Amino acid sequence: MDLITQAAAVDVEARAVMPARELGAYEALWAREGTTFKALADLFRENLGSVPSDLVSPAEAEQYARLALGTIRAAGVKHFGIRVHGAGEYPEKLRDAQHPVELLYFQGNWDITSSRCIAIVGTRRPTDDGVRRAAKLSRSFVDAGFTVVSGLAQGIDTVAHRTAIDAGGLTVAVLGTPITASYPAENEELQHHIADEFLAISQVPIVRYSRQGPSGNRFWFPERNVTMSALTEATVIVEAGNTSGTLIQARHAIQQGRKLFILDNCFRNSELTWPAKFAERGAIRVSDFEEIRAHLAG
Amino acid sequence: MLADRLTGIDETNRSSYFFLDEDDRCLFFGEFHVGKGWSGGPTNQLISNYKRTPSEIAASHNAGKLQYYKDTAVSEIAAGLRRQFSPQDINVKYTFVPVPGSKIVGDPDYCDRLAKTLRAAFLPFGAADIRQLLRVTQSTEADHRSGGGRLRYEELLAITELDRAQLARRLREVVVLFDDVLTSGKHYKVAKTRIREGFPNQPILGIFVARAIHRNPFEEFAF
Repeated sequence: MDLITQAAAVDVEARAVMPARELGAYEALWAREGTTFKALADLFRENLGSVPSDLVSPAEAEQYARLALGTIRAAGVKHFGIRVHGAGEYPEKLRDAQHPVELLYFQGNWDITSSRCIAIVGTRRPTDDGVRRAAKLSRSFVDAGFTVVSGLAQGIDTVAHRTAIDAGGLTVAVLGTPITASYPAENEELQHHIADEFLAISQVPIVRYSRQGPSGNRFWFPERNVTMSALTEATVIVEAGNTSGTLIQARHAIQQGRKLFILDNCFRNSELTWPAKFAERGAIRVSDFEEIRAHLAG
Repeated sequence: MLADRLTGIDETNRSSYFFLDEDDRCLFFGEFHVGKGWSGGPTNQLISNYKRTPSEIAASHNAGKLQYYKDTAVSEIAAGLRRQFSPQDINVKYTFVPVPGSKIVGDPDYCDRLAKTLRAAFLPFGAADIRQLLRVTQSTEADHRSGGGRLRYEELLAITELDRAQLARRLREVVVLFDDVLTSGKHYKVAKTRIREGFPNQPILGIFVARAIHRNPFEEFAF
């Protein structure tokens, strides 16, 4: 059944996305054993045109909505919204991800997603040079009218966000935690500032996260890199080790047809094997902002 | 293109709309970012084109283009609306009512874009019931252009009335009140109040092209 026929079969109100019901259904799907982003994406591929509440009983959606909304209130989250595939303002560019998210939470000014967005990412333990480069790039992107997107982690991410804010620009944090939690703890204030004044996005289900420990919850971080790449026009890697989570984003940026820029210093570090590997697959080796800018359209 | 599905007002977003309460059933397609203009995204651009006044268009060097963009917005919104209803429901279940604008018929800035959109969306189905059930008795400054001098609810209620001439036929099972932007819910609530005075148990559903998102996020999404 195509989407239009499907729409015609159901009452207009029953078919509308009700945010509480929808987030409850999303949380309920995640509460099922064995749920992963891949499994969920497969489920929605098999049920084209569906939203989470089409796949969960109303009672279950309601039960999980109460749990999630209770956690949101208890965490002191005063404002938030959701985006649902098929409903208004869902970013279609997310569909370029291998396993696109069907629902995400956000806090702040969603209209920032209409601006030109660039991800600046890298290691949690940068060298002094890495910090300097990340700050310089972030400032240059702001000056050129771009929004700086990053993952709120320690190190390069933090420098990218803070510099963008200090430079009077816009920034977006794509979280590896639900909107009800913060990681790392020292960035809690920065997260709140971004959520209040800019935009924080999370695809992490609140109830599932609350039910599992740190070892289970660390898997959300690489998943958010996939979404970060899909949301942005390009990713810039400032500095990263051979096992850095940043490389997940590099892989997906290439897969999603996004531009991937790797700073020259990464290539010059003989211990690193990944820069050459990604260059072979289409990544662009750059020395400075001007070179990056020249590769970006418009 | 408008979203495939409408989104509803519920406990997570109702507090942004002062005049709405739990009994109000309101749906919208997208979000209009107040004060952000063109940079607010595709919905802002659609609404800007859609709400362009006749005098604005006439005064522009690009009048032809602006009128074209407005007509395109009407078609796009009509197509989005049409996708939400079954032909059976359009022809039997709903009475579609445009929320009256700020200008009376005859005013140079009177604009019937809402009625035009409903007609474009539903008349092709043959038996749609589209009625200008409500009218204002005097022209006022549109809220979004009033620079803070907005009409209070009571003032708007006082100049809004049911057009008895439109009541020769019975209303259908559900009245759909259609408007472009849900800002505070005031116009919707005034329209609903007037209809309910005449028809106390009439089910009413509000459908909007967009809901307004105000600048301070604490005022929008707060529980």
